Amino acid sequence: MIRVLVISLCVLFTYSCKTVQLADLPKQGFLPTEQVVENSYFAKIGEEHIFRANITLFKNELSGLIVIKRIDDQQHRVVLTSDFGNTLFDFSIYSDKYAVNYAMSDINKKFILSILARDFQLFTATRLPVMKKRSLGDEIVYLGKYNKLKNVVVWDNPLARVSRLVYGTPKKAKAVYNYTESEDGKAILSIEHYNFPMRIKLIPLVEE
Amino acid sequence: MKKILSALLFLAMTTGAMAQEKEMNQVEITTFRKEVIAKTKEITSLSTDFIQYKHLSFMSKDIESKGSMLLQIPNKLLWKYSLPFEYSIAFKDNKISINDQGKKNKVDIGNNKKFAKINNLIVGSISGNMFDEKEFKISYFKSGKRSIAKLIPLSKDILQYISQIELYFDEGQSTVSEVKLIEPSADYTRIVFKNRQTNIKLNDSSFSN
Repeated sequence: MIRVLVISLCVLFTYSCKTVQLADLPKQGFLPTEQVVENSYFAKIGEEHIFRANITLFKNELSGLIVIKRIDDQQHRVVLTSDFGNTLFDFSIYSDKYAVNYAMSDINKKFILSILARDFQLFTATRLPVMKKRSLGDEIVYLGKYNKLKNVVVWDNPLARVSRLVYGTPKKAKAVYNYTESEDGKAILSIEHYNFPMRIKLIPLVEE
Repeated sequence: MKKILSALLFLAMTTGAMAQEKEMNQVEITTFRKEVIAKTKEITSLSTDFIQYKHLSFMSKDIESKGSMLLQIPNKLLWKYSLPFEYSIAFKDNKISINDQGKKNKVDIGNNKKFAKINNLIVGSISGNMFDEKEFKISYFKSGKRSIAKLIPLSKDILQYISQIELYFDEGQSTVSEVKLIEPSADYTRIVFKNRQTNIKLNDSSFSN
């Protein structure tokens, strides 16, 4: 299974330059602003998040647990384990770098680790500097840059929090990080790439 | 006075730790191995409940999963998690079938040596018959009424995932009561078995997933 995932990840290189245009996001009409948008989901130091994770890569599926904890001001710890419990990867994520505490040999390839690390860098980002904004119904759409990565922050006014973060621009989107989706009546989070078929679905586990 | 107290406390703690786990001598090892191997030979099937604890050093508490397990010697195995989510995986006739909350998946492992190794490792850990000196460097300990076998894999392939396997045997029991799989990072998974029943009749359909 892991080997198939690795081969798939190699194939994705041929896709990786592709971007998509997002129909539901405005492309113009932004006003200049200079502010920092707070993304609260993984912001509380010491809070432990455990998710059931379903990873789909091309047509392959892998399930397990993803654990995310903000250790201190600078660092988030992100671990994926299989259902049997063994660790598949263990990252320390900082805004501008990452450290691999452990990676199973099959996925211990720099290009795989850097894709995953970049995903979790954006996904766990707590302070997002933005330069442009535009109101759109119940949402405010911001254009920003986080650690040199262009992104779009979508703020949900009624919920008063970030509902989605797009890696790229509205015209050239590469990936999306969703915080407020639901599926079969359950709240879920997700990471989805537009330039190759990879989706990570995260279902929060309610403590007993 | 404080110094004396801390010295005494330290002494008590270290002697306590030493009393907890004591390495077996050669005679004890021979007897223990003979006993386990003889009892394991008698096992044809096994049914048990389990609690799995995943320990990550940075987490405030272990992540707990619960479920049940069925084993038919030599090669049928069903792991069924019921909490915190329903998930089961069956090894049968060289095929792995996964049932993830109703979503089914089948993988043909054919002659895949890695999967065969994993299967042997799981079946061996549960039944306790893992004393293969070609595969592991093994040391034996006693702790109260418990016997412990600590296995360090010799294969570099396995060492990348697991640095040590610990098998705990309760006195008078023919199967392991606890397995601890320690990873290279020192994080570990501990599986505690409860309500074990051996040599019960299991139908082929019990392993359908």
